[in-house]
Amino acid sequence: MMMRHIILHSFLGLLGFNAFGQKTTELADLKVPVSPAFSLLDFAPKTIESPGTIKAFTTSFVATVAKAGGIPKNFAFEFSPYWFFKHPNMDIYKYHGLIVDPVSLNEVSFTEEDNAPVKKIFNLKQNIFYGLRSTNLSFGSVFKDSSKKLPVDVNYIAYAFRTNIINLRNKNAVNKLTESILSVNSALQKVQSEARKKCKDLGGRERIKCIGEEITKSKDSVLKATRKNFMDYLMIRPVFSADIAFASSTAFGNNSISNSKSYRTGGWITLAYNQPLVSAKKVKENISNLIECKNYVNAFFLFRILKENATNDFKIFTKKNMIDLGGRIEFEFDKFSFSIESIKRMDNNKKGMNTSRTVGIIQYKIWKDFFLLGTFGKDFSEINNLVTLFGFNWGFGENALNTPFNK
Amino acid sequence: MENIYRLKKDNSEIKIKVKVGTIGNASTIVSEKGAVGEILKSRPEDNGNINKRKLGLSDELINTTIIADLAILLDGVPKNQLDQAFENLFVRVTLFGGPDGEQSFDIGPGEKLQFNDKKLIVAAKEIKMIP
Repeated sequence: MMMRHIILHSFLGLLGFNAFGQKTTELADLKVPVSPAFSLLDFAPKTIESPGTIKAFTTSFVATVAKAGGIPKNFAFEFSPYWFFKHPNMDIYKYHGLIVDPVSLNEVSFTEEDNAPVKKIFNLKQNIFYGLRSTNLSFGSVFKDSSKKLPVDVNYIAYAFRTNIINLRNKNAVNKLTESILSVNSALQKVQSEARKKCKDLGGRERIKCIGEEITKSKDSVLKATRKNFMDYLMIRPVFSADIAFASSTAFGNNSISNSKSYRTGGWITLAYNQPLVSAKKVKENISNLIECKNYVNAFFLFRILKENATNDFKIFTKKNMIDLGGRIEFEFDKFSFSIESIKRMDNNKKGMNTSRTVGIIQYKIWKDFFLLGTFGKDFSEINNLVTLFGFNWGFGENALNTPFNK
Repeated sequence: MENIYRLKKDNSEIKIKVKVGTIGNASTIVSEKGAVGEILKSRPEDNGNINKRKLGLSDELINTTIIADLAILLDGVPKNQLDQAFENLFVRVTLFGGPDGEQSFDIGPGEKLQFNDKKLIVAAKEIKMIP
């Protein structure tokens, strides 16, 4: 019982430290935000509409506008326009940034109309810009009534895009990824063939349902193993990646179009370089050495710009311009990592007010998405600038350990 | 459009081509409805596509139903893109050699289903071969 109290008090104590730390600049504030439109307005919507088709998007948007009877309030949309449309020439290779090497195809002769099996040399290259297809647009609004900070009702609307412009992967990993695609396709066809035989007399949706259920319940070990390999190769950390985001927002006083003012505008660039601590020779000999490698040296570069028209009454506005420029070097050893981060903050309106943040960060992964985090150093500003942050950090999804600037 | 392809009563060659646009791992098998054997299948490197190939002889195919069965795995596709991948699946079966010449049949919304937490799509295109 006593032990339980000690653990509980220790845990609450740590949370207390963390909460205090949150008054300072958060690490998460400095990376390219996942949803820049919402980040710009300091707003975490409870629900984000993510329409998958142009029809779904139009329906949702029209409904939002109709419900508001004017400029809509409190909504959040996020979508990738490229995927709204069918792409007949899209395939798994293009989707994962692989392109057929035309030189290798010229070396091969095959008859398109021949029924005989054709041996095709399969040599692929990387398309490092493939992330551009998944460019994400987001827009949303937050309504704040006159009882809040300003004496008038203000509806803030923000619009943004975020994209991965470069993603460069290890060459061996790319080759293995390609091979694994072929292996999965072969194994899938074998299972599909067995399923088809069982459902051969059926037609229409009954047939589709029958085949789908047969494949789903298949315990085929080859398919299982090839799918695992494919995912392992896909999850290998890129050598280099670059992400950018831009967001802007407009404030509408009394929710009126005629009483609008540009509010905040922001831009982010993040570059990340990940160097596994395993030799290229070992990786070439066996790609498992890279898959199993848990030790990395990571380097990140950050550029962020933020402009704001600040006001206390929605009549007089003061321009604020701020630029953050910096980087971080990180040493990662399995569950443990330590890093040094330095960011220079330039205030364009008050040249003498330029400041910087330099902190050391220690992180330990307790289990998936649950970290013990310690930060010590100097935060922005010249007074009250000691950073001592210690606590837990947890998240959901596929967050990579120790890559705060990563997407 | 009705899924019917007219054939000549002779021994001319009928050809088929299957074009698949998907971001997942794909496999296509072409067979005759009710038959155990397969007529054609996609090569692993073609990811579900089948280049223009011989399907059979016209008079032997009359009154059969040809089915192109597709299985697509969406491993590695983010959860929020699984529905988009399903909606945007493009499958076009094209037949050649009948009296009406080249005719294309696209997979419609009622000819595909999602399985296994949307990670598996199964689709089928049935085409009746009539005299």
